[in-house]
Amino acid sequence: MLTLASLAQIVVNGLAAGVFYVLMALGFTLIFGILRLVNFAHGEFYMLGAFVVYHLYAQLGMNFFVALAAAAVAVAAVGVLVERVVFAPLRSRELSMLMSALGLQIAIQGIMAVVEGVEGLSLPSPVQGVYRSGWITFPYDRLLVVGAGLVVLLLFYAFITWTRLGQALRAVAQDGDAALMQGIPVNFVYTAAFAIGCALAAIGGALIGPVFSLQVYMGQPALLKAFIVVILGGLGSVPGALVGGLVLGLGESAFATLFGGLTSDMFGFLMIMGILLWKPTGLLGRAEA
Amino acid sequence: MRRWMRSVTLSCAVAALAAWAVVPPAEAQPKKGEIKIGFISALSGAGIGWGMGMLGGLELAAEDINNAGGIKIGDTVNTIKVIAYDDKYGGPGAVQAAQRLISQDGVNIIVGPLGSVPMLAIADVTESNKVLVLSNSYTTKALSAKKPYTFRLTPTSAEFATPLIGWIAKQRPKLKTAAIISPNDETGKEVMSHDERAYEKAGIKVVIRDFYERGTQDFVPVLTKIVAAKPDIIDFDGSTPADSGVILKQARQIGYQGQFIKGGGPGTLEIIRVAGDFANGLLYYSPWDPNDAKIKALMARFEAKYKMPFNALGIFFYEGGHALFDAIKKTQTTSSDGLRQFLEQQKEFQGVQGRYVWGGEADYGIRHQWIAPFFVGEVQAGKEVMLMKIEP
Repeated sequence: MLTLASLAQIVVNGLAAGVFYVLMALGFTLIFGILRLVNFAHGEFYMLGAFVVYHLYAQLGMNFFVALAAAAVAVAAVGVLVERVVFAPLRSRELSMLMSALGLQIAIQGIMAVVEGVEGLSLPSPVQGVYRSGWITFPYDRLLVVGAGLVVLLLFYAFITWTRLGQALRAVAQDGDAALMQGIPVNFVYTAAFAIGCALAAIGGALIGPVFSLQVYMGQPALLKAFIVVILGGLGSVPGALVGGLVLGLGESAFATLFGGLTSDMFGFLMIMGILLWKPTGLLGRAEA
Repeated sequence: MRRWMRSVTLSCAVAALAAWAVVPPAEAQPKKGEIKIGFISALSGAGIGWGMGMLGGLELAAEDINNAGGIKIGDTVNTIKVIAYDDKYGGPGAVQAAQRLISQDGVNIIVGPLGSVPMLAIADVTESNKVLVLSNSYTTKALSAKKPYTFRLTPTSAEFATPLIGWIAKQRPKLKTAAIISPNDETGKEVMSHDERAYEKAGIKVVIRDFYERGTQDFVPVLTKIVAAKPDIIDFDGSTPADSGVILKQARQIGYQGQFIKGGGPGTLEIIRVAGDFANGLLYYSPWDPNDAKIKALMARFEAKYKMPFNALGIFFYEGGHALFDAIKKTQTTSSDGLRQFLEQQKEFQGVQGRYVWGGEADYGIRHQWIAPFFVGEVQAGKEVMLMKIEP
């Protein structure tokens, strides 16, 4: 029976899941918006971020937030290397880039499986305990993800709106050729966008890692959720990722609690089909000229 | 002259006979041969831990036999050679591997594969070629009277759920209700039906059941519904160790105080690694006693050879490998028909862990299911503690 307390719990669970999904999807949609690349390896950068934090924080005892920043920088550096070596030579050949992204996904997974093993690991949360009231139960580790996720979103919004590089990113996303004619170093912007997308994925993996578990294959379900979110919100749209993530999180939470796990998984895909029929570009996506 | 010739010839013959009698002829060296055993499993990707456990179990058993001089059949001393292929935990890979093993490598005994889908996929190829298969897999469809060459080494929840849950119900009489959460695939559904049957037999009522898609990481919404039904037990049999750890952790975080039970799918150490202190109190099925000296020695051998931890699934393939080699030794044949008939009539096999028997007539219509001894374990202070050994 649906009570006010269970409704409150559904909303809280859904908002938390929504922020998880936004974190997974933000970098993915940024990379697509700028490079026109469906980055199948995005989940692997998410996984790399979680493992960097695991080693720095859980094994070497570094402060969690310092480890988080280090993971973002380290994975961004890997992103720079990958973009220059793998994707830059294939620029504008979208199908080739897509296949390279698939190959990259398998390669990173394979290397990590050899290095880290394939069994699940636990990344201890920097916060412990559970908030309980008559209405809701909310573990503090989830609260940390929601709080940190919102901070990341705000910082990203500020960066994209008010910095010169952010404006350059938006210009290239709108029209790469026009941006080039305006003197924007488009190749640098491509590399920067890929690196920032990878850093966002790493932050997502490192924040969500303590809530779930660590495994070298953890990027696959994250990529699937990121896909659903960006298609719901509109491929390449950052506000769309925010809206898509929250809609998916709340919807799944409601369906899982009321009708069970299977209906919740069906919900995401049924919603995509419905929204694409109604609005083929997604909720906040723009039709291309 | 003729007389002289006759006596010389006779003397030579007598001398030659005497020499032959005094100096025995050089002993004929036994011929050397090789018995090829095919192996199919997931040796890459998500199932690699289980797949390597299976392979390691079989190869260590083969190593024991080879180090002891091999198997003598007639005047040929044979060493065991394992030919392994990776099926990537999928049907097409398994069929390709089976075809290659049969047509190119010429094997008539295959150990594996790991999963239900690859197992069902190779059945047509192996049965039509009369290839003896000693498999893993969980599905009830793996064995039937129409598959006379297919055997299964790993017990499923159909075999151990009833004795496991029956023992727990007797020891913890306060447990009256249960919730079961399982993956939404063939394995998950079969496990759930076996567990429901076991709980019913033990007098425990299943108050709620739910499925989830593999790959789910956030179980809180589903667990919110389950915890609201206030079950005394949450059973997540059928889930991988990593998923089990996450379910356990997230259920405790949202305030569940009851008993967790985990049936099949060995990997308790991984559950403990993922769930940390939340894993304490978990009751589970364990195919081995990890604190037993013989098992510890086997783990050490595996880890030294493969540089990874030994998965408990491997014990069935170590014991099963020895059972197969023992059958070859006793029947003096590698023919699949001869071995099949021997195994079907075998009363028991004494392995490192104890007594193994063949069963499964009631569930599968054929006595091709290995029934193994097992242990009821409990996680105490982050360690595996065996509470009871249950023999078939």
